Amino acid sequence: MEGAVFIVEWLAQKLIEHGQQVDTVWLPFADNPDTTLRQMLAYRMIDLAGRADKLVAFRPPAHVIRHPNKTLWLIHQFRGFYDLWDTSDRPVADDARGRAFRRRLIAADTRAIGEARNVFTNSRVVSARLKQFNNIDSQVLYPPIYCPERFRPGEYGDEIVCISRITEHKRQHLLIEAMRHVKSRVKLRLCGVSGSASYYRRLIKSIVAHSLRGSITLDHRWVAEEDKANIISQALAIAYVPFDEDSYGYPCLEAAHAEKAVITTVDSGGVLEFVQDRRSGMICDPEPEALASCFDALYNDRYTAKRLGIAARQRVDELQISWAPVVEKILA
Amino acid sequence: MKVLVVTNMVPFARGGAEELADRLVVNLERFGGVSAELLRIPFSWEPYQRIAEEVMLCRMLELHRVDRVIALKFPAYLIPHEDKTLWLLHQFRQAYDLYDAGQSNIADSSEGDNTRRLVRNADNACFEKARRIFVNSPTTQERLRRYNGFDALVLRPPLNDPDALPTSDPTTTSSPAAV
Repeated sequence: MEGAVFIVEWLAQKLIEHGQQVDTVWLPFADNPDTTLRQMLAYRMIDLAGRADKLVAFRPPAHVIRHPNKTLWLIHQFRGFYDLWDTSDRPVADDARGRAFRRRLIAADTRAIGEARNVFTNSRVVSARLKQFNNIDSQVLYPPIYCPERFRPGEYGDEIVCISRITEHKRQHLLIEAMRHVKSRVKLRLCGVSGSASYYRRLIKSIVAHSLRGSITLDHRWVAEEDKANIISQALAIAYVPFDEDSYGYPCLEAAHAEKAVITTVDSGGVLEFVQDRRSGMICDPEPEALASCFDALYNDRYTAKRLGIAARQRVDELQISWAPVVEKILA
Repeated sequence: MKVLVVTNMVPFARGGAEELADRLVVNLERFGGVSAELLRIPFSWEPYQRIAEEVMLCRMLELHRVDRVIALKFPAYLIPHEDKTLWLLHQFRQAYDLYDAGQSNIADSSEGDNTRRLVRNADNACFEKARRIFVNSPTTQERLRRYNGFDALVLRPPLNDPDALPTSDPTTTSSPAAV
């Protein structure tokens, strides 16, 4: 959720710097399958046609708002109706009514997205899904971070760092588990605000139960950007192991700008578009032992930690992740 | 308590009402235990035949994780919520006194009459359910009483009237705590 706020506010700021006039509209959406179509219809009825030369929409259902010059930068889909339909994340029953609902929602998406002049996504995963389910071609436009120069390289210390929202699907528990298996004196620092008190308690319990208080720092707070940059600059590497994300996530970019390797897992989704195993980071199975051996490998070989970190920095340029091309394409 | 201040908006337009909404959010945040955010719903009233859609769309939106709504303008204040306080800066005057004064964009026709009836019905249903109704001036108070039959307390916007002090008149107040 916070990532979505950033991409919108940062783009708005960059467009203003480019000399454009920008007004940002945030609209409410309740994640309620009973009213999803009704809420989409409400968005559809919003009339902005004569009010701006261009409309840029990001998250559904904002994509259904009509405008003759609509650009979409899709960073999210109702995945429960798409690729997660056959999982426990399916929002409605898989019966005749549920399937009709799903067909209508996908048809509405296809129509609304089809009206856009340009369709961008934040990852190849999202673009592929758009092609598969809606048969719509789109272009990947990787979201940069606002102020990349803030993140600068420093020493390669003893800590593997993970700065991210503390929540089940970011899987900080896996990183804690990994620390039970390390053989070196590597340390782990987890920072971020927790979305769920019970998950945070579970992490604390796990640290205490396995007597890991000496090697793990759990810093439960919102980390300001400057502070974050300082912590990362002294890190050995970054760990970012979410489950099946759509995009690489800002933690990857923050790490890369600070020339730090990113350790991630084979099931992390869009993160794998950025991280290449043994080139700009390390990719392993989502198992504590496998992560532990990555931690140890970098702890015991700082040269590799640095080499992968420098390659991660180069990866940013390789994927053209910067604001100038983003602004140019959004305005095209 | 999570408080959502709700008003309407026209992209790139800014005036006293927008300033007031921003100030209200800032001042609510100063209250201990309150976190406040602003929701601006786009509003387009030309041609007047659009108004029915505008009313409907506000009623079809859905809020969650909000403890209280403080709503300022038509039709944004129609957004459903169980705990809604209104601070009416004005009603949709084109359907009320401006129509009577011949200064409305709503036609003097059966279609126009339907639009005015729709606005009045939507307003009355919303006022009926509101937790409290404040208005920004005695004029708005009088209009609300005359056209809709609802009583309201005058709560003067401090920004537009920085010297306002709490008065002894029980029907007016300027205390921010009232909201």
